[in-house]
Amino acid sequence: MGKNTTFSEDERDCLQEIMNIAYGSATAAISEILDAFATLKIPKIEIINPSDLKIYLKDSLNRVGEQLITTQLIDGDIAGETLFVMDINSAKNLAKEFEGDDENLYDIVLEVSNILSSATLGKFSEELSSEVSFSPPSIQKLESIDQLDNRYVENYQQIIIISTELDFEDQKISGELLILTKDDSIYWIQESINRILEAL
Amino acid sequence: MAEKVVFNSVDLILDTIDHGIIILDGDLNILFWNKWLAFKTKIESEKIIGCNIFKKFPTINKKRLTRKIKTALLLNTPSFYTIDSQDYLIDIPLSKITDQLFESMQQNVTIVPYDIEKKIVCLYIYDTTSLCSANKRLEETLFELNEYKNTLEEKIESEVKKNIEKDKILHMQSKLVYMGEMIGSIAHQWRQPLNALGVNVQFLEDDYEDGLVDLAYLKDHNIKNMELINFMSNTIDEFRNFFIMDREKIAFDIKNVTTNIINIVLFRISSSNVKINFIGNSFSVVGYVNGFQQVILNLINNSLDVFDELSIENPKIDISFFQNEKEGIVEILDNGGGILETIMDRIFEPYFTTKEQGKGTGIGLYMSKMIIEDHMNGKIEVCNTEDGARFRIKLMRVKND
Repeated sequence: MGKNTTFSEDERDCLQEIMNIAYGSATAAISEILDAFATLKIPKIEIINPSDLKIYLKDSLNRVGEQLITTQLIDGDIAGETLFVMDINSAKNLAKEFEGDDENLYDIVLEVSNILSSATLGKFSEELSSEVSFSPPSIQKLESIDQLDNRYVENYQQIIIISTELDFEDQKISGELLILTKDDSIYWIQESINRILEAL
Repeated sequence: MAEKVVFNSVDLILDTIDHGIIILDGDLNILFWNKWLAFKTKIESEKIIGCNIFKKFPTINKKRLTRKIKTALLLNTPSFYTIDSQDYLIDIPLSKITDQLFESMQQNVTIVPYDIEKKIVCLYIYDTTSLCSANKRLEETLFELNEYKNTLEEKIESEVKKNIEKDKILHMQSKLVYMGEMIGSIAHQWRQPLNALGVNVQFLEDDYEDGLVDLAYLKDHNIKNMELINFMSNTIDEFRNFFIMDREKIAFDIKNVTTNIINIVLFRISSSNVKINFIGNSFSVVGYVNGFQQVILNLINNSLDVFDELSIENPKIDISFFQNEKEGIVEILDNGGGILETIMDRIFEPYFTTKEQGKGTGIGLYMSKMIIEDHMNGKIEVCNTEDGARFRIKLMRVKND
């Protein structure tokens, strides 16, 4: 604790590369499971201070109106949380597309979120020769990011945010996945990356 | 040394664990059904193994479960049913009788891959009924609280509206009362000059016949009559000014304004032989002239009513002006005997009157308090002296007065 992690350019490149592979497999998984053509944007990686988390979320999730936010705990060498944010209209379109009606928005959003986090982090940890375990996700409807409780976040030194956007073509469905992990996991990621870099 | 116990740990766990465990093959046929499920569903393991889960439980959403199993197998990761997304997977009627919110057990389900090649998955079923009950109660309480908040807000709004309406009506009524009094005053003010005008007109013809009418006579005649007409016209102006609502606060001289309003009721004062004394030096305040005049008029009229009613000898009203550092004070003291101590606290309430039915409206003092305290940020108080009632009005003085 107490030391700030900075990723070198090589480390960053390597992390980005592994993430690209992970998101590629997530895209394939979601397309196969839902039998629809989905795209995931190339993930953006950022390391921020915990105090800036809310500001970051507010800025990056600059969305108007009601949002559905799912959170899922991850454990293992990479421990933390995934956040999946989807506006209510996207969620309705998603439910109509894959459930036939929009009566149960939560289930399909939870499922997409679970698929995305599992696929991404599963592949990511596999590339780093590790494993992650997932807790059941939970979902809430928020009118603003301010309603998100993160009173314990200040206990951490740094948070790594890996974000991507999910789009289903022609279906007006988009969402954003954030992977938040902190301190120990960040060091672990850095060490693992360095092992890969050394082996090259 | 304890004796070494041999046991089948897996069977023990599967039979005693407080969750449901189902194993399904690739065609969604049941391969395993643990004891907990047998107890809860009253379906023995032997009776259900080999059966297709959808045939046994037709309420299960086939598309959803298939998709979740596909996710688990494809990604080699658990997939979930949570309390956020649905009520239950396996319909298990609850046998609890008291304090029960749900007919069926609420469940969380975790689906984990068991054999990816053979597409075998394991389903863990967790009873979340008590959690869901707590959530539901919380939601209901929140809903009730919200409802209560909304009705409270509506109630406040309607009460405020009612109050505003009431004030408007009171204003209107008090205006009507003053209007009635004013018409009486005007009628009285006009009676004498109208009479004089009539006489002058009648005498013109007689004087002409008597040969008294020349140019000088006519000029004098016109001047006298124009004076009368001007007097009557002024009376109307004063009356009208009094009734125009003050639009904005202005600085005014308290003594001048008080004297002006008393002139309007001068006929009543002189006909009752009431002596009015002005004591002290004037000062200026900022406020609504007409409003203030209404207050003074109301207090004077109240005194005059008491004088009439009780046939007071040597009736008098002292109007004193004095000031301290910040405030200007006007005191109106009569010798009408004062106000009964028992009703002293109530005289500023709306519709409170001691006058005979039809004579008092109970609005005057209420409106006076509103004008002085709410509109002019002043204070009006009353107390009894040896001779009678003393009303004291405090107003903020204009600085550098």
